[in-house]
Amino acid sequence: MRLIRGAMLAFAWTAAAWAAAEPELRFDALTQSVVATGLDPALLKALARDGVALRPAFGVFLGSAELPMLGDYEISQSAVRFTPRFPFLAGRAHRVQLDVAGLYRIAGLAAPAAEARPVTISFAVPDAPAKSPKTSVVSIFPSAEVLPANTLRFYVHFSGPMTRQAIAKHVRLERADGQPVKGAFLEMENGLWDPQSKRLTVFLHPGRIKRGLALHEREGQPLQPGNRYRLIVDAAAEDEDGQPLTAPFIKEFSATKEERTPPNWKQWKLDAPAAGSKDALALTADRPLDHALFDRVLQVTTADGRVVGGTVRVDEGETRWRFVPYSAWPAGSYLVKIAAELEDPAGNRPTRLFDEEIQESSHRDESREVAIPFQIR
Amino acid sequence: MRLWLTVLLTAAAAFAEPAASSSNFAAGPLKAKSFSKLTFSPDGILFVGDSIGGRIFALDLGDKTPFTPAKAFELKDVEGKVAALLGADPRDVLIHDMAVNPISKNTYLTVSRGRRSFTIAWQLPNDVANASVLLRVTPAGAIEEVKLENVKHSSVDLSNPINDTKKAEWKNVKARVDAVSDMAFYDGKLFVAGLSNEEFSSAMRVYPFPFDGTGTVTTLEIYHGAHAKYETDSPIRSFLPYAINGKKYILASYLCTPLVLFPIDDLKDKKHIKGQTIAELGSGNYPVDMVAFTAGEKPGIMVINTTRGPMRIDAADLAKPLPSITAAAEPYSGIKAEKLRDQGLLAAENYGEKFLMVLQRSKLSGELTLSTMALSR
Repeated sequence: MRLIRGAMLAFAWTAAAWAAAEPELRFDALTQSVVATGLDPALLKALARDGVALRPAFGVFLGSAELPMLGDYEISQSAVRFTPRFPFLAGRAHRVQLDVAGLYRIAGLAAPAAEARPVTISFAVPDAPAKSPKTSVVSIFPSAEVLPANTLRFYVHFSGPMTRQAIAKHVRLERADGQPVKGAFLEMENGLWDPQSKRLTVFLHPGRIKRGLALHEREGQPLQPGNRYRLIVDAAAEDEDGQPLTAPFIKEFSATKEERTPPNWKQWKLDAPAAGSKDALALTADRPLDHALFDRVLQVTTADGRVVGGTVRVDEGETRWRFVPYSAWPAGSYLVKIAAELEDPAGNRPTRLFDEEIQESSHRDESREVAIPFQIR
Repeated sequence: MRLWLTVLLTAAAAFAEPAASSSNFAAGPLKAKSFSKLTFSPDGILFVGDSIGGRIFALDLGDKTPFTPAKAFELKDVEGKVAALLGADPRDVLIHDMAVNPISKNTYLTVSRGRRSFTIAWQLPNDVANASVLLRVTPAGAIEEVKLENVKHSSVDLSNPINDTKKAEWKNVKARVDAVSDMAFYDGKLFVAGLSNEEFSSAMRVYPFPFDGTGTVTTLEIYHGAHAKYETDSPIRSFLPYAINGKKYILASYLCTPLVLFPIDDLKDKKHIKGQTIAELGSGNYPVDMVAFTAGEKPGIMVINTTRGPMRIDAADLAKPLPSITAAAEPYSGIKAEKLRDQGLLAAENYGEKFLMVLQRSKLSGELTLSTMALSR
């Protein structure tokens, strides 16, 4: 874009004023552009024609680059302004070279002898102003303060997306006396994240938990019954903008004896709402279950297998699952289907013990599914 | 005298009319949302496929001064040089596609600042960023931006491009980026491979040129020996129109890497056709480019692969009775594909009779070079 604003009525005066001026360059932080002033108005007028390329004589370079960057040159009555095609890189040095003699050549004018030397400046675009931290740990599951010593995993929920890099440096397990529990976690330099980068899954080392494995025999499991622990997410963990957390998060808990029995789904209590209402269906388990799985792997269907849509919430210390349908409950027979992969925090699955629900077609324990019938009346 | 002059001027104006192929072009800003794919017609019209905008643009850049390359060309550190133009780190520079003007031999590159946006190995450049800058590299080695604020062009809307909401979950990107997955000009028509909203989404669209608003869409099905199944969702990754024994075909390559023939005569509007799978070039691989050329008087084609290296298929083998893979098949089944030295080839285009223009990244230095590859020793 080349603009000449207004007619050059005061040309003679401007030319006289210019005679005393020196070509000058400056970085205009407000508009993120570079401005050349002190140029001969006759030169500017000649340069303002369509199709004149100024880049060879007025170049803006990133660092030590040899080629000038792309951008727009806007010519006014008193200045040339360069605006880069892409924003200048924050925190990086840029240099500008203005070859005034070259501009005269481009304009097809004879250069005054005094204009032989190029003018250069360097500027650094300031780093983006430090943003204040905005992301925090919202919760850690299991939420209970007493956990079985063979607990397998923790879920750390953040309020916003995190960077996926190097999270391992920022999550640690300590005993109550502040001594770190070494090798507590399965190696996880960049962690295991949900697609939104808001939930981190931290595995306690399964090799140390599983009985009979050498690692278990040699190093023992990370959590010992009777001890108190602190799971710490330190504030230096970075969110997706590279900002630290608003505060560290500490989950204190004590370990109790290992849970080595499967959840007993036959003891689970189902509260069915009334027909015609949009009230929640509530399923209360005999113990806390894995938060993510409890949230995800249950399904409500009609007796003939059609899926009922709705929203799910897990509460009461991961012992209760609440399902609110999108539309009011019609009276009838329904099932809550519990996928085989549902586990308690120690990885015990309800279907491992109860043979009653084995599907005839299945040969693998893992594929068993439990279905609990209920009526809406 | 004056009358004669007028007549002469009129005659001169008539001669200055653009070629028939660009007769319906209008000058104006190019309103493309993504420079997804490039290809040239023999008379120097540049086609830009815009997946995000769902359009194909035909550009007359007036780049029609013939040039016959006689000697080798090499431009080292392409990403460093493009980085200087974009005011970016070389590590951010991402080259999306390349095309060589068959008349002037200028090389055109579409670029973005997106190279650091890759998150998983399966993503392609268009999966992680939209190219928004078109650059021209001259045979003399100059790199310049192709200004698109006022360019002679025409366009055609892509019929039924795949919906903006559909996702390729396995690589966590919008399927829309493959609305145009490759293009080629042949027999006066533009062939556009990509995804549609049809039940079988892989499609080949054919547009007569100059664009007149008409075109055909044919959905494509292939048997993929490496996956032992028929596939209709996977888009063509690279293709060549190619005549075998006088019959015209589309020779297409797909992810994991079936090589499939479709007779051009079968590309009828709103029809669904099955291709003939003539080779499996190996799984875990993208075929990113294909080029036909004659080296040492032996015509053939080269397929450029992301993980399996470049391969050459001899035209003589294509002229023999061709295999048809219709059952599970091991890598390198079907027609013979000779593995070539793997010098980090990423793209190749014809560059006169004696050379290919290739983009290659050194496996040791990581440097990206644009250079010629001689076709005779």
